[in-house]
Amino acid sequence: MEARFQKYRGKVRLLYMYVREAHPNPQFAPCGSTADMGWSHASADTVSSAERAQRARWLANDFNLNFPWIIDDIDDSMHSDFWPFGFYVGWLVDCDGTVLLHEPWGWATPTTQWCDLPLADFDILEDYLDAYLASPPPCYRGVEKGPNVSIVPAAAHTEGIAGSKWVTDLSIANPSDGEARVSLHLQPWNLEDGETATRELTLAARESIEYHDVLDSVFEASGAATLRVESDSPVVTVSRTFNDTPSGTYGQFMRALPDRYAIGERVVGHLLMLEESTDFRTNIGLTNLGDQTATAEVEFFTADGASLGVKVIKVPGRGGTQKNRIIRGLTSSAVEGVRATVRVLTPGGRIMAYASVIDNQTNDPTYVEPIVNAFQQDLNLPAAAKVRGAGSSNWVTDIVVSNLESTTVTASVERWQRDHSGGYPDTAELVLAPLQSFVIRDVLTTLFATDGAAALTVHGSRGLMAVGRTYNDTPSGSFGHSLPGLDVTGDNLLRGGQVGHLLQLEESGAGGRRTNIGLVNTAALPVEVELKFFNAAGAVLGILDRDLPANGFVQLDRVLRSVSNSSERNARAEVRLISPTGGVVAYATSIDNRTGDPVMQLAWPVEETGEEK
Amino acid sequence: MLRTVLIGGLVVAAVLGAPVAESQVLPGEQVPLYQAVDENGRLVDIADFIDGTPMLFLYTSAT
Repeated sequence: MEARFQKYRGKVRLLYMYVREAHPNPQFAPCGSTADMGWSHASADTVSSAERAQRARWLANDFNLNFPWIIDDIDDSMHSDFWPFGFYVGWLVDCDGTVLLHEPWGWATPTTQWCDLPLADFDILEDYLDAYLASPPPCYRGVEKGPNVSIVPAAAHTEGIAGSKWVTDLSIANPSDGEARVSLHLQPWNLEDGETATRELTLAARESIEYHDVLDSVFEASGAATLRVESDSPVVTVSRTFNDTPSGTYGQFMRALPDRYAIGERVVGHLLMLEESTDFRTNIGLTNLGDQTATAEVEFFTADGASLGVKVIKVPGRGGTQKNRIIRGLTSSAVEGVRATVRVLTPGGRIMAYASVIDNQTNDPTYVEPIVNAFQQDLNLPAAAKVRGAGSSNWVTDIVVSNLESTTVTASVERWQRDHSGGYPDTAELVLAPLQSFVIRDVLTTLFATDGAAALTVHGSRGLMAVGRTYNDTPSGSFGHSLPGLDVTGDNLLRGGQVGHLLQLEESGAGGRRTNIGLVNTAALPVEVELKFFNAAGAVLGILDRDLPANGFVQLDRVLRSVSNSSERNARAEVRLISPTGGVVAYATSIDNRTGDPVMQLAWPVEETGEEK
Repeated sequence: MLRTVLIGGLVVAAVLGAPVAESQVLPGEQVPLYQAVDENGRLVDIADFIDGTPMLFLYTSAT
């Protein structure tokens, strides 16, 4: 629901009212909660407003609910005023304090379980709010807010092992029709690498700017650092960190994340598909968003769910750290399909985490973004491959499906072939033991005995997670990109009318990069998608429309050639789901023409992140 | 998940005859003013929120 109301941020103040527990019983643990959240131990009724505040904080953290909260007192004052007889769950209050509207709780059908009860009719509420904001009363003004903030957890200008040289390219795009003022803050992980510094810039309407080797070119800094981006209107920021060799680059994509992606109290981040073997090594990175030192606990689990051990890591305030080959300190055996959980032990601490899994022969890194508080049950992996390409290339996709539950789970995997025109998918079944991470090498061959390219969906019970890696498997090592397993019921998809952004798009000849864009329709109805391309200066290059059949998957190779006859660098695409319903995953793969190494990014809607004052 | 968050089956208690007060928050009336706390224990005064910005209250409980 929060995703649904994001568009009102800055225009309407949204508040959760936390009141007494009606059913303080483990049977009524919050729907969607998993065993590791511990709600069965916290189901007694609260006896103080402080305890209620704690319960609200748990809810907010467990389910990533980011609007402000107000907590009822222990005399239930708010409950007494708001609830009686009405069964209303939403109240819209005008700018002068007058109640405009109250929204009823929808009633259940006889077959509906209690936790599936429908809510108030939010369509009516949205229609009302849209009409209200189109013609606001004289008392109206918007919410005063702080700057929009997003974080690039790690950027580099440093030398690594075997003569590797790691640098980061950063792109910032202003998708709005007005200027955006941006502050780019450097927060070195190690103060020996340099001091904090800030650079100010102004982006014209729809302009994108790219900084090659941002630490050196903008800050004259070296080492590793966190980059904090503040802006007066929402901007989109992405980065690519890569080993810059004379014969080309091998790298990984990292987007700038809003603060709400941080791991804090009661929040658990999961890092999947980690490996320590002769083929791969794993580094874990932690960035502290707070001013004080924070302590994180990272626990590692084998593919069959057994604990390998715990590492406790201190991260300095506003600093960061990366622990290289961290699994080697826990076991001397080769391990694959390892899952790590990241928790913050310091009260009030907020940390961003990531992993890099690096091929020991090519030094190509694969970025692993944490999955926070997983309770998904329907997942989409947008592009799996088994393709023999030019120059004897051999593209393969491995996936890992993890079961967080303490019971055995049967999951079905569907394969939707690229460019299919309709029909039904091939399906395969997975049986996952409790806490198992199921590693499936070359998934299209192993599960479906086929090749080509396909989108995969995984259906199961809650507590499922999945990620993958698509790579060129060569005799001298592999290089590729990570493949996310997206919760198709969450805010990972582009919904009707929403616009997602793809940055750092390039079509620049033999020494540069090329770009493919993929579109996956997760709905059982056909949808229409529009792609609008901009050059770095913000001029429109062209518009493409694509109709996708139900569950359709297309990939538009070298897509910039369709809208531009010249070389393009740092172009941007806006992906819009024209259809009013459904959901679409859009991605771009950007490929180094010399090495063939790809990175993958997803199209995310631009987000208002400024805190309300 | 949201279904969890909102309400938590209070209807059942009301239907079974749980005591309820007579007041309601109805359209056309002023929203009741409270001094409450937020999830971090900081004092929150609803009156401070009546500052020219419309508000949407969402009724919430954990269980």
